[in-house]
Formats: sequence, structure tokens, C-alpha cells
Amino acid sequence: MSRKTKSIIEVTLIYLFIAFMFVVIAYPLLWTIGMSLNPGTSLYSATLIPENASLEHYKWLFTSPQSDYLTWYKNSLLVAAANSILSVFFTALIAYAFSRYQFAGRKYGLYAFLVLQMFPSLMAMVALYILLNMLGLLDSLWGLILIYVGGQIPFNAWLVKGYFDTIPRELDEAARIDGAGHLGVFFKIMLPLAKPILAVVALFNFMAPFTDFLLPSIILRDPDKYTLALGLFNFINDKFANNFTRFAAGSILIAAPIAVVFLFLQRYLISGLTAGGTKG
Amino acid sequence: MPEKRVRHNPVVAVVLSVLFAGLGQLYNRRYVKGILFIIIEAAFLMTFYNFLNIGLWGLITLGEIPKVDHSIFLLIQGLVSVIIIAFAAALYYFNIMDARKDALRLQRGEPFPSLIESCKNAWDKGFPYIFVAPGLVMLVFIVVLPLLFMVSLAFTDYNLYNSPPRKLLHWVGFTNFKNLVSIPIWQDTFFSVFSWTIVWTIVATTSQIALGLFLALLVNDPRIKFKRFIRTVLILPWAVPAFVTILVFAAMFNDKFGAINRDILSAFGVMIPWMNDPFWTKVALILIQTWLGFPFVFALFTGVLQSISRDWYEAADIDGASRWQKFRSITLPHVLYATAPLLIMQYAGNFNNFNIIYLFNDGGPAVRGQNAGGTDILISWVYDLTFTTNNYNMAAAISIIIGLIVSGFAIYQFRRTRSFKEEGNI
Amino acid sequence: MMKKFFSVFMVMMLVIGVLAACGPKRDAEQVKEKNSGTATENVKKPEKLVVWVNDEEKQKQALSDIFKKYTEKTGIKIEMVAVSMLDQAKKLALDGPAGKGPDVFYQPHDRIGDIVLQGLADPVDLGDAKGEYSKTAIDAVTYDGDIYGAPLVVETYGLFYNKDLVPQAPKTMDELMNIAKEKTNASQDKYGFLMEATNFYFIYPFFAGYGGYVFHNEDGKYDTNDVGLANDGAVKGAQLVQSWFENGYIPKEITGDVMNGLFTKGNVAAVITGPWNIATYRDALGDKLATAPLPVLENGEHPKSFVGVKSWMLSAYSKNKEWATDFMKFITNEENSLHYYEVAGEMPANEKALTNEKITNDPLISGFAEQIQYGEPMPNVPQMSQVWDPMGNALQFIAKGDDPKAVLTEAVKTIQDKIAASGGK
Repeated sequence: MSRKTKSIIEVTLIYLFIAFMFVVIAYPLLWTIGMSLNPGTSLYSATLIPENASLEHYKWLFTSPQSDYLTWYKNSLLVAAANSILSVFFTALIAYAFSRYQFAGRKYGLYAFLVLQMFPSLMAMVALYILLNMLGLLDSLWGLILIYVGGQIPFNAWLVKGYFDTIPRELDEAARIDGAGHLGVFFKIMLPLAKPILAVVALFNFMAPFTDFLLPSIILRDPDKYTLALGLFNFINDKFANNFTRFAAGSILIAAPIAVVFLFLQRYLISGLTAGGTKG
Repeated sequence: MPEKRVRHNPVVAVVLSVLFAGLGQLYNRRYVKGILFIIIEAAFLMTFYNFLNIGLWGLITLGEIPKVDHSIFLLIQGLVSVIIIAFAAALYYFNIMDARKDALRLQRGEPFPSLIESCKNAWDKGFPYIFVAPGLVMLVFIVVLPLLFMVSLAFTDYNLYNSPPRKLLHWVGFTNFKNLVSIPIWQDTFFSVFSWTIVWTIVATTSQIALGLFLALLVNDPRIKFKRFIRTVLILPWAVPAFVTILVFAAMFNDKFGAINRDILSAFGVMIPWMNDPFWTKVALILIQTWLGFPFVFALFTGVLQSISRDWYEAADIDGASRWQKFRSITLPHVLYATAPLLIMQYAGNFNNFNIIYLFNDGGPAVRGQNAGGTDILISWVYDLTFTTNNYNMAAAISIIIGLIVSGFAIYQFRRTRSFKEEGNI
Repeated sequence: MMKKFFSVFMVMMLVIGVLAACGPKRDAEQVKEKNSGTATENVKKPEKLVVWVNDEEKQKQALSDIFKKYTEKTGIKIEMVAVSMLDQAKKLALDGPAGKGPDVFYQPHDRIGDIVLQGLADPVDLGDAKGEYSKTAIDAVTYDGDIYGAPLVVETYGLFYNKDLVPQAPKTMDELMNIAKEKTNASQDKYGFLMEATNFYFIYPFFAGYGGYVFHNEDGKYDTNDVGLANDGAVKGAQLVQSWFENGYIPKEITGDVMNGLFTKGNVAAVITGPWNIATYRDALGDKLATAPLPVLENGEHPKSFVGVKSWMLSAYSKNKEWATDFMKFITNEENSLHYYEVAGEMPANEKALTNEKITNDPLISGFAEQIQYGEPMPNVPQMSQVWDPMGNALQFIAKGDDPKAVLTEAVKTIQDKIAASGGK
């Protein structure tokens, strides 16, 4: 067998495997779409290609007076955007200090970040509830945002610190010689150069509120303040009245924008994560 | 004009500032600073005295009168108080050191820096602290406080039959941990759940990493076209909220009515009891986790592969290395070394992967003679104990054990990969 | 480094030591007042009452009508907050002490034991109105001799059937089994009879009809040491259930969602489930749908279904207990119970409303109304929460063909162990 034929066979096999993965990836996703187009409420009577497809669930979400879907969507976007921006800011501050300065507790701080992520937080929710109550932020989106921003620090600070470490110190020093102060270096050197990892952090934190239903269920009460994940989860959480098809319709409308943002930032995702995770 | 002041005694300054913040500074004749410190401490005491008083009392007693005192609220107020005091103590320590430093300077007869100079000094020295402070405060209250709360619960007698506000909680020492390893019903369940948790973590995580790596290698092959498009599709599972996909999978895996058995496997004449046989449920869980988890690893590895220098491979080609040899000795070490910390996180994450276990089959199916479900991992068992049977004390004890195991493992691995290099010296 | 830590630590200990000695100063009066509950409460009219209602469209709609009427009558505003019934107890435990809780909340009666144990609810003084509710309902909300709820809804399950497939409701279990035998063709997804047969809630009547019981009940007091789920009667019931699986009548993968899907498609002749499915079924099947009480067992007994009673409960944190009680009585009176039934479709616990011809003439509800007479309230002791899981598991094993006697004996042992391990007696 000539080298060339071998190569062709190999490439074909690779394409075949990738095609197989495409099917594996697409199958459940298409199924979800199919489910959302099925009339009725039952998951099991649904079929991949519905016999009598209808957009009734989508229509219900947007037009029914009983549906708060648009409010939830707005809430989720607010929480996601605020969480994303604030997280990037606070995390970058911490990471900058950890990457470039010596101070008391620096060494153990990194270990603390690590350890803090490892403890399960299920039971901690009660404490967060009481804390927010002390601050008067219960049943409020800002309370939720506050907790998201604080909670993401250990993982992301560590990621961003890793990336900052890869930015050559010579650049800071050059900037300092040119008269930049601590803040100057931070805003003019670190932030612009760390764009990929900051994009990653922004993306993670943008996504988080869309997928978390546990925390909002503890601190939000007013259906007008629900986030999408919580509202959707309630569609199927009722012991006797599941509404899987409507849930599927609602879910697709969450997944679509996230997927778009995600794919848009893909370039950063790959380069940011790699460098950030490498040196950590 | 340097002036000798040998009689000035630093010990006096320290003692005075221990008594009340600012007194030492006054003794050092730094009046503005001293008065400022005094005002700050007085304000602190006035604002927080009551809160701290009740909090600490509550932390120690957990309340004295049922229905009036709520042990949980007292416990948390107590922990908040301890945190506030810790912050205050740190500042207090700074106040004492400041008094001592100034006193020493006086003793040596050195002049004080001017106000502007000392401000600039403070900015330079305090800069990292100022940067870290906002995040640190949030971290302490949002992450550390709940953790302390959970740890505290493990040492109380908090269960359904002893719940506030009707009853008060009490500190019970290590009783819960003793029960966990000595009372049969707890002991048996704990060890069987624990062993599956380990298997789950290792198998599920390793397969998602293996698949991610394999795909990254394939797509990285120079002969493959449409790379961008392929990568986009391969990342897709990551972009869909996991709880949605898990629920859809749960429906698809239903033994009799799910699409997998019905539309795919029936063509081969097999019906696999995905939901009713613990073994197959485990297989299904691992498959789903692989589906959910490989895109992250794929993205990660794709980045690393692009950064490996061509020179390595060219050198290997000259030595006549086979493809497998190149993979073993160049690609794999490179990729694993570079991403080790994040991979360790993947293992830790799956150890505590509550969502998939809970949403897929709620830990089921049941197994004869066992308390937890056939696929319950420690964290989903904790959830059951907390929310279904209200065994808060045991749930907290198990959570602590989980945390210790995972962080012990993680720290060990991190140290090994030498990722914690100490640098930074400005 | 150590020295630094040490000095910080010392300072902290000093401060803590000074503070911890004090604690709150409270005079005995204040404590007494708080403990004695309603006795010293002033009866001033509050501006508003906060009420947690179940998060369900029809129910919210019905209730908001009734709440409006109450506001017209008394001038007290009612703030309606929708909280899923399953989450209310959990959330009240947090919201109550935090001062954000409701005055009145809404719970199924089997949670009463849990709620009272946690001290979240106070007894309700129904006064003369007590006689207006059905006896089953009052029994259900009585715990330790006190009444803890104003019952709004009673429910139990019944038999739904599709008249196209079975023109007459089966009267006995034998008849039902014959239907199952004739109509079941699993490969085409056709079934004669389906129910969630691995869910203990639905299976209990078949145990109880032969003499099984959860906790022995003597004069309204449950003896939680005496679990009757592995006695001869229970085993007999379990064998009956097992035969459904063995004969292939019911697939062991059955879930509520599957059952509803197949029944609404018209593939199933009869199902046993609760009245909450009426609306979905009626929309799908229209006139073909009918209901009946559960078929009689071969020993001539009616299966004793679990009766659930949903009632309004009084939060222990309410500051307006008198008016809250007044309000609870108002929304569960005959007129309002009927209105609630008409809009939300749930059977009233109010005796007069239940025997109103609007209900007795409703063909879809009457089957359930009849079944209620044969049912018994679910136990409301907190130990009940340790029963569901082991029994659910036991039913899964029975479905797989394990020996019912052995499985049930094991399950009862687990229940007792779990009760002990969770701190109950």
C-alpha cells in the first residue's frame, strides 16, 4: 500500500469518526427540539419528528398572560451581564495582586482558593440565605448577583492569576519607567493583554446564572424575579404535573443565545484557558 | 535636625495601643493619626457591640429558650461576629505594629516622614491589600462563612426531631463522626456509596479526558479541513445548560419508552435496562458525563496542541520515531503537564457532580439491603439526608469528609505538578 | 510567623471572652409573652395578611377571586405569594424566623408532623366551624390532639377509564384483570390497565385492603413502633401487585409521565391515578373519559386508598393569628370551597360543599367522591417521611420478581432503622 493510499484511508477514518461524533452530539439536541414541537405535555409520547408539529409551547411562553417567560429572560440577562462584568473586575484585581506583589498570606491564599472549591456547598445555602437576610437583600436579583460574584472568586482568580503570570514582567517594568503607577500598569498593561482569559471568565460567569436553579430557588420568592433556570425547572418539578414539552421549548430558547455567545468567543476560549490553566 | 529621644519607650507605646487603638500613637505624639484611630475603634464598638455580643453568646450557647432563640440564626450571627472580629483584630494588629514602629523611630531619633510621603508609602505598601480587599471580604462572607456554618452543624444534634425553632441545638462534639463509622446503617451505606463515588470519579473523568484528547488530536491533524466548523460543533454540548441535557437524556434512556432502546438498540434486538439495573445505570451515567464533559477538555487540549513547537516533532522525525513514540514522548507529556491543574479540577468536580446523579435517576435504582440508591455518590446522598430526611448533622459530617478527601487529593496533585511556583517581587 | 498568629489570636480570645460573658438581657415578661402564643395577642385588625398559595395557575385564579371577596368583607388586604407546595415548609423554616414569612400557608396534611416538630405552625382554633368539615379531613389535620389546619381540599385516587375501550367501569379486581388480559399488547403500546405500581402512594390501598397498615392507629394516635407493611395482608397485596408485572400487564419501567402519555393517546383502557389529572385527560379524551371508585378486592373489601387533605395552616410567626384564623375559615366555607372546586377542579373538604349536587352530579368527580369514603388519611406523623423511600424500593424489587415476603420484611427493618437513625423513636 502506497503512502498516499494509507493517508487517504486515515483521513477518511478521521472524518468518519468526527461524523459519528456529530451524530452523537446532535441526536439529543435534535430530540429536544422535536420534543418542544410536540403538542401535549408528555415526554414519552413525543417523537423526534412530531406527527403534528406545533409551535403552541413557544406561543404559550411568549403570549400567555400566565407566562412570565419574558420577565425571567430579562432577569436572567441582567443577572448574567452584571455577574459577568463584576466578576471579571474583582477577579482581575485579586489575580493582579497575587501575580505581581508580595504580601502577607499570599502563599497560603492560593492554597485556600483551591481548598475552598472542594467543599460541597449544598448545605451552605441556608447560611447564604441568612446572610442575605441580614443585608436585606433577600428576594432580590442583586443579592443573587452578589453571591455569584463572591462564589466564583476562588476558581477564576486562580485561572486569571495563571494567565497574568505568563505576561512578561519586562512589560510592567517598562511601563513603570514610563511613569505608570500600580493602577496604570493594571489598566494599561495587564487588562488589555489578558483579554483572552478575561473573556473566558466573563463567559463562564455569563453562563452560570442560566444553568443554576438551586441557589435562586432558595433566595428568590417573587415569580417576577425568577431567573430562567428556576422558572423552567419549576415546569417539571411539580410532582404530579410535569410539563416536559413546554420545558423543552423554554430550554431551547436559553440554549440558543448561550451557544451563539459561546461560539463567538471560541477563539478566546481556547487560547485563554490554555495559558491560564497552564501556569496556574 | 536629629534630636535624641532615648527616653521614649516602644513597650509603653505597644501596651497603650493594645489597651485602646490610637493611645500608642498619641504617646508617640502623632496626634492626628491617634485621634483617627480612637474614633475608628469607638465607632466600631458602638456599631457592632450589640451584634457581636449576641452573636458570640449565641455561638457558645446556641440559645437558651426554645422558640425565642433560634439556634441556626444565632449560630450564623455568631460566625459572622467571629469573622468581623478577625478583620478587626487584623487591623488592630496593624495599629499596634504602627505604634511600635513609630516609637522605635522616635527612640532612634529619626524624623517622621511628611504627610504626603507617608501617604505615598502607605499606597505602595498597602497596594496589594487594597486590591485584594473587596474580593477578600466577599469571599469570606460568601464562601468561607457558609463553610464554617456547615462545619459547625456537623458538631451539633440538628435533625428533624431536634429542629429549631421548637427545640434548641446543642454542641455534641464528635458524636456524629463516631456514629458514621460505628452505627451499622450509617457505616454500611457510607462505605458502599464511597467506593462507587471513587469509581465514578475516576472512570467518568478519565473517559471524558480521553475522548477530548483523542478528538483534539484528530482535528489537529494538518490534513483535516473545516477545522473551525468541526471545533464549533464539538464544543456544542458545553454550550447547552447541563441540567437541560441531563433531563433529556433521562427521558431517552427510559428502558421501555426511551428513544435509545426504542429507536436505536431495538434494531439490534437488545433492550438494556438502563434505569433498573444499577450496572447499566452506571454505564449510562458515565456515557452521559463523557458527552457533557469532553468539550471542555477538547477546547483545552486544542489550545495546547497548537502551542507545541514544531521543532520537537521534526527532531523526532530525524530520529525515525514512530507516530506512537512521538505521541508518548512529546505530545502526551506536553499536554498533560500543561493542563494538569485543570484536569485535577475535573476530577474534583466529578467527585461532587450532584446534578447528573440527581437529575438522571435520583440516585436510583434501589439496591436490596442498602440505604442509599444504587448510583448515589456521596454528594447526592448528602442531598437526600439534608432535604428528604432532614439529617442535617450527618449530612454536614459527610460533607466535611468529602471536602477533606477532595482537597487533600487536589493539594497533593498540585504540589506534584509544581504549579505553585512562587514568584512575584515588586 | 507563629508569634504574629499568637498575638492576633490572643487579642481575639480576649475580645470574645469579654463579650461572651454577657449575652442578651431580657426580662422574664417578654419571654413569657412570646412563649404563650396567641393568649396575649391583640386583636387589632391588620392592614394585610400574607398568604402562600400553591404555584398552579387554576388554583391561583380561584383563590384570587376568593381573596378579593375577603378584602371586600373586612378591608384586610391579602397578599398572595405563589410558592410551590412542595417547597413551602422548607422555605418557611427560613422565611419565618427571618421575618419574611406568611401568616397563612398551604400544605398537604401528611407534612403536619414535620412542620409541628419544627415549631413552624400553631394550632388553629376552628371554633364552631369545625363541624363544617368532613370527619376524614379533620382527622387528617389533627396532630397530637390539636387541629393544625383549615382543610380546603380532599383528594384520593380513583379509576379513570376510556369508554371507547371499556364501556362499563370494572366493579371488581377480577374484572379489571380480565380487561388487562384482553387489551394488553405491550409490543404495540396498548395496555388494559396501568398505574404507577412502583409508587407506594398508589399501591397502598391494595396492601391495606387485605389488612396491611403503615403505623398502627389506635384512637387517632399512631404507634410508630408497630409497622404493618410486612404482615400477611401486606404480603397478599404485594403478591397481587407482583402478578401485574409477571403477567406483563404493567411494564416495570412505568412512570407517571409514560402513563399519562399513553392514556391520553387512547392506548390504555383504565388507569388508577389522582384527580389532578382530570383536566389533562379531559382535554385529550373528551367524552370518552369516565371515572369510578377503585374496584373491589377478591375478599370483598374496598381498597383503602390514602386520602390527602390540603389545608391552610397558621404560621407560628404570624403576628395576626386571630385574623388569619378568621381568614382561613372564610376561604374554606361552603360557598368559597365550591367556587374553588368550580375553578380549580379540586374536591372540597367542606362537608356541605362535598355533598352539593354540583359535585355529586359531576361524572368525573363523583367516582373520587365515592372512593373517599373507603379511604383513610395518610399518617401525618413525621416518621412517615422515612417510609416512602424503602417502600418505593421494595416495590421495585417486587416488580423485578423478588419474593414479596422477604422484600417487605427487609423494607420494614430499613424503615425502623431509618427512623432510629434520624433521631425519632
